[in-house]
Amino acid sequence: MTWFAPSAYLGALVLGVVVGALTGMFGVGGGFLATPLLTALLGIPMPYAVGTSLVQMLGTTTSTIYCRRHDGLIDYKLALTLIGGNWAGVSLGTDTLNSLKRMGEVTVQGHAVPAADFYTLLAYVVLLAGIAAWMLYDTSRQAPDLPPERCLFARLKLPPYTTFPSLGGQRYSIPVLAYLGVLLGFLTGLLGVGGGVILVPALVYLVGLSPHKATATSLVMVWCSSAIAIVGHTLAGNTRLDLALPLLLGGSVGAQLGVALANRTGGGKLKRYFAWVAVLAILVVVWKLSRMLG
Amino acid sequence: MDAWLDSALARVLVTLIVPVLWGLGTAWFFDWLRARRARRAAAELPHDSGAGRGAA
Repeated sequence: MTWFAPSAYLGALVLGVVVGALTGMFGVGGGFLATPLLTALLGIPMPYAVGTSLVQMLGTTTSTIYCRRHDGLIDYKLALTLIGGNWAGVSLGTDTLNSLKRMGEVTVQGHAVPAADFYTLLAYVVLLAGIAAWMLYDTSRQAPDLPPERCLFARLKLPPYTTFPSLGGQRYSIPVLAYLGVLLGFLTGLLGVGGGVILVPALVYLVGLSPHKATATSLVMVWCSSAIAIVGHTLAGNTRLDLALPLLLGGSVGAQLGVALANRTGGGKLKRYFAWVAVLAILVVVWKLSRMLG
Repeated sequence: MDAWLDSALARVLVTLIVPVLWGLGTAWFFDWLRARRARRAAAELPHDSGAGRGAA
């Protein structure tokens, strides 16, 4: 194993504190920030960044699930249905990233750049822009209080169906929920994001779950998703425990700071801050891409 | 033993177990820290809560 420069480990520790603070403040895993910033700021190749932030995510979600074990908010049946499709999506995403890794370099505007870094950073610009736009839109309106039967997923007819304890007697299509799991799993395998940042709004607005239950249920799915992805990425040699440890250490401290900060700030303000953090991450990724091409 | 530690299965198991143990360890530690702070705060203010009840 080749070691990274000491500055990379120090940078990972600082990044861990920042991402941990965001986890504590907003209740998200932080993979969507840690992965692109590991590559953009610390120069870690994207496959290592993906594998390593998945390890960090597994640690963070374990900790959060442990803290919330008595809440009674997790709908395990719903999480299990999503995980059914998630498994396939993670394999697909991991294989795609490994194919990009094997491609080596691609020539863009006359510059040879690593294919895995270039395409995944481009995907991150789109993902982060979507997250920022959604957060800004969500803070600028009154949240609709949709009953489960009026939500999109309750109206989609694709048998077989099932019901969930946290969603009353409403029937839901198992394949539709599994396909949502496939999409989120693909993002986990390819980009190293747990998917919580997408799954929570999806569970609230598309499925009709209450925000608290959606956050708790998504934690279980993110935990399983990152564990599945870690297996594939470790076999491909993409996970680096030496880099994950400073991220975990920083993350544990940062999360406590984040919780303290969140207790002093209103919910609306928090969402706006979250959007601006995503915008800042886009700028960093765009800067990295312009450096790769210039 | 060395051959097993170098195997793919061992690498996967270690990569899965380390973050899980870390997560459980830190969650337990911060729980314990919060409980200790709460116990200390309660021990420092025993008369205040009693006074409130007495006045009512």
